[in-house]
Amino acid sequence: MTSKALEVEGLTKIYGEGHTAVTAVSEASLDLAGNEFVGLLGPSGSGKTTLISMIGALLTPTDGSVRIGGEDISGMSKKEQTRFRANRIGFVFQSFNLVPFLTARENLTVMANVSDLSKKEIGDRADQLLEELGLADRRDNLPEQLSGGERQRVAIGRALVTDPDLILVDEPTASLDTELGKAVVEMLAKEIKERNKAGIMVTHDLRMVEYTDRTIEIVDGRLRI
Amino acid sequence: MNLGLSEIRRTPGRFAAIAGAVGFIVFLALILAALSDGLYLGSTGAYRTTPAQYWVFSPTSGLELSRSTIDGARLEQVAATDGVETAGRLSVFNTTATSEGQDLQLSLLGADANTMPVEIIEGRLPEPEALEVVVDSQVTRKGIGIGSLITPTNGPDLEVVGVAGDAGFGFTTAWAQHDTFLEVRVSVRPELGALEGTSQALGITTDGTTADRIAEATGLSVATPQEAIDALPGASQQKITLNGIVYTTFVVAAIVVGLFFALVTLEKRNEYAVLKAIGMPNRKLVAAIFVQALIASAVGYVFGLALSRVVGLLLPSTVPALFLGETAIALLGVALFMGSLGAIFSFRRVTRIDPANALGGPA
Amino acid sequence: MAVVAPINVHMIWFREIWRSKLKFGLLAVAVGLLFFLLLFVNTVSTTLLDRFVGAVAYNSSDLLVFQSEAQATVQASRLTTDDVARVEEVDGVMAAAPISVMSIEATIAGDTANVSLWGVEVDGPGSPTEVVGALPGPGQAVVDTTAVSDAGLDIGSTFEISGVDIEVVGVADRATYSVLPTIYVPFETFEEVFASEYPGAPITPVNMVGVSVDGDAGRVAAAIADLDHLEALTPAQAADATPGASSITQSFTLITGITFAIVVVVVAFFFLILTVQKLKVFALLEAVGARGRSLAGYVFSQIGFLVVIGVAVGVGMLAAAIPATREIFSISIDPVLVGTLGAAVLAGSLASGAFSVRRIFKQDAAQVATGGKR
Repeated sequence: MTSKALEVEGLTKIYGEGHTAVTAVSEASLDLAGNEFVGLLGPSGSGKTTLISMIGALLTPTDGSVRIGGEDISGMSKKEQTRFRANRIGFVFQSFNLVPFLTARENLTVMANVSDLSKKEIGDRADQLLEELGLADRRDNLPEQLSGGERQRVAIGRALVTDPDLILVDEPTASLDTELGKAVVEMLAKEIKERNKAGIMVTHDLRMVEYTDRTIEIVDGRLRI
Repeated sequence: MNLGLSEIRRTPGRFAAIAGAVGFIVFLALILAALSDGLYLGSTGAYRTTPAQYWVFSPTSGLELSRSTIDGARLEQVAATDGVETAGRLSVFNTTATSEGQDLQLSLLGADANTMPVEIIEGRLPEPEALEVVVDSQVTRKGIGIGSLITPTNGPDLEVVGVAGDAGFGFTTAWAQHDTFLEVRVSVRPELGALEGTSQALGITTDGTTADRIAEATGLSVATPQEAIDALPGASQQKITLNGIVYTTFVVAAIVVGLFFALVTLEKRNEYAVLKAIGMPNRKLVAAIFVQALIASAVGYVFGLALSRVVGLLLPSTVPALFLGETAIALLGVALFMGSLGAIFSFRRVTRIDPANALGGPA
Repeated sequence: MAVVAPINVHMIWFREIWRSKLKFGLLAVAVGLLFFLLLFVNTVSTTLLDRFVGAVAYNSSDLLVFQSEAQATVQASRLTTDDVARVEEVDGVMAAAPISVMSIEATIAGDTANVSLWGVEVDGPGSPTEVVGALPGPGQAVVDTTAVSDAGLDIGSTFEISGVDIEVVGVADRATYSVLPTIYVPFETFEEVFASEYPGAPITPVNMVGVSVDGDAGRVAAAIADLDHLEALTPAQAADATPGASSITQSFTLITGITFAIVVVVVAFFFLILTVQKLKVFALLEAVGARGRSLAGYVFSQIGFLVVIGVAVGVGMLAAAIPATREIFSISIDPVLVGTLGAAVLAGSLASGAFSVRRIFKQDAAQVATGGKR
């Protein structure tokens, strides 16, 4: 395994053309080591969502490259991107994270539909993750029967169940109170470290930064490392 | 694990609602189809139910039984024509009658041995010379069966001695021997007495000789049963009209299913964005909707079928509804097809959802 | 409590429709298709009935007398001119006239066609009412409108029945019988045709006696029913009692009823989904001061608007269907029918909207403050 889990170079996104062109992200470069967990800070409109979308193979950059685990994703087709996301990237979103009609365990095992891992592997990993995340006795509950913190822990479990190289976390504490938010982020950091994953957490909450290895700031589309 | 199935299992309420709406539409379609089948088959059976391969009419009749007249000499001529193996008479007249305490509009058919209905469900054919009839099986819905007496207005009592399948010809249909038929007609319509000895059409079987050859040899109009049916005033048009209404109701079903999934997709666009972001391909999401549409249509169909059968039992016998298995199966196919078609409305919406919307909070 | 100015939600309901044209458009099309079915089925059933028994239902008599055994079936009722005389003597009968009917082949411009031939007293009870042209003398006829459209007859044309030449002098609307071109001739002309068609028949049978009445028709009908083998019905009753008419009426009433129920269910169902999706919006509007009444108005306005569009779509489709069905039925758009059915569908749909409104009233505005969480 390469020592660099993520290599971002000269990443640029320009929306529109000519006079109306807006540069959302400009020449962003960034490296992450295999077990590094960084915080991405920035005010709203700073370009952090655009940046993380490009890193997450959700958005095709105008210029620059993204390599995850040594693989360049910038030139991938939509289909290849989808498959790459399913196998190599784990996501934790701020809301609408879980499928409301699936149980906690099913929200993890649903990844068997898309991952290259076998159904059994995913099932075993799901059970193990639920145990570690303290959700063993909640595995058959639907999201609406879970607390906000529990839901985010299920989402962390789902992000990890396919054994991805990179975990992208988008404002995981937005709908949680401070204590619960801290607990969730602490757990997230621990899981990422223990599994030797690279992780990026988008947040605007400075209190969560203590659990990250370092922070990167983005202002007006430019990174300040 | 199929996402579509899981959703139905966990939130059955709203799927019950869409299935119910589809069910009502299927119910309407099935009732209409039963009316269409009942009207059509009930008014065309006489041409289908006999051993006759061809029907022979007088040349200017336009293949209409009521406008055709064939006298005894013509009968002999046709029977003696090369290639004709059997020939039998067929005539009909409509009159009022009473039976089992109820008033009826009676279609009385007169036939010979080789133009009588072949499918005798119960009892036997009428004896020559006897005041006996065999009735169409639909007549039994009115409580008329073997042993019942049917009394045409101003005519003699006719005893029911048999029940025949698919032998209807418009109203309450009864078949008598042709000579008995003439006797009844004379007493009910004395002015038609002058036509005694003639019939309206002939049913023939041949040794393979074609209709054209026989028409040429006899100078009469020769038609297949289907051609004779198509010449019946109104029968085909009625079928076309009612079936047109049936298919229109299925277009409504497709729109209803389409609307439902369009609304649901709209409601779930954030969920879809998340699913796509974590690597769920469009194919799987579309398959889930497709499965749901099929299930909603199938459940709706079962509901509509059950409802139509229950209502069918409650219908008065004057409503000529006939529920056929093959029609029900054909409409199941149409229902599933239209349901799937409705789901397609949502496919584009789902595939167009940008997975990047999952990031950055509620859209 | 502070008086909060009611929010004007009137335009919001329309804006929602405007912004989601596809969604509401599909619903309007569904309602429109169903309304088209309703219109079509009713128009066809009226047309069928008129062409089937119009001659019985809309003639000039106050009462039609049948042989009582005939169950009001024209062809089965066998009377004689003696019966006409018996009816004439009943108290309250102003005039009684024989009506004879037969199906017969006519030769029109070289082609043969089956027609229904009616022998009537031309200015007596039982003759057609909506006549354009002259009343027929001997050897002349008034024909119904389907004889014009289907058989190609018109005022001035001549045709032949059983060797008798007849000239058309008038056209009558709503005078069709048994789905055949229907021809009205003076009774004596009918007798001439009958004698030529059935030489040697002892008498010309009379099928009905047309009666005009002085005073209460019900009492006169009862008096006629007291006579042996006679029964008197109003033309409308006689038309309803015609075998086959009731099966048409019942079948189409059934279809109408089910279609109506489906319109209401579909509208109710979709507005309920739309309402549940918008509960937060409604709560927000309520929280900022919209009255419950105006929220109900929001839903009802949308339903009303959609039904009106649906009705227009349905009428448009019927108009488009008219040329396509000309071969089968000549139908037309009846504004009274459109109005009645439209009002019924509107009323049913608005009533079904009550489910959605109830759902809005069941939630309270405070939910907005807590982000809609329970």
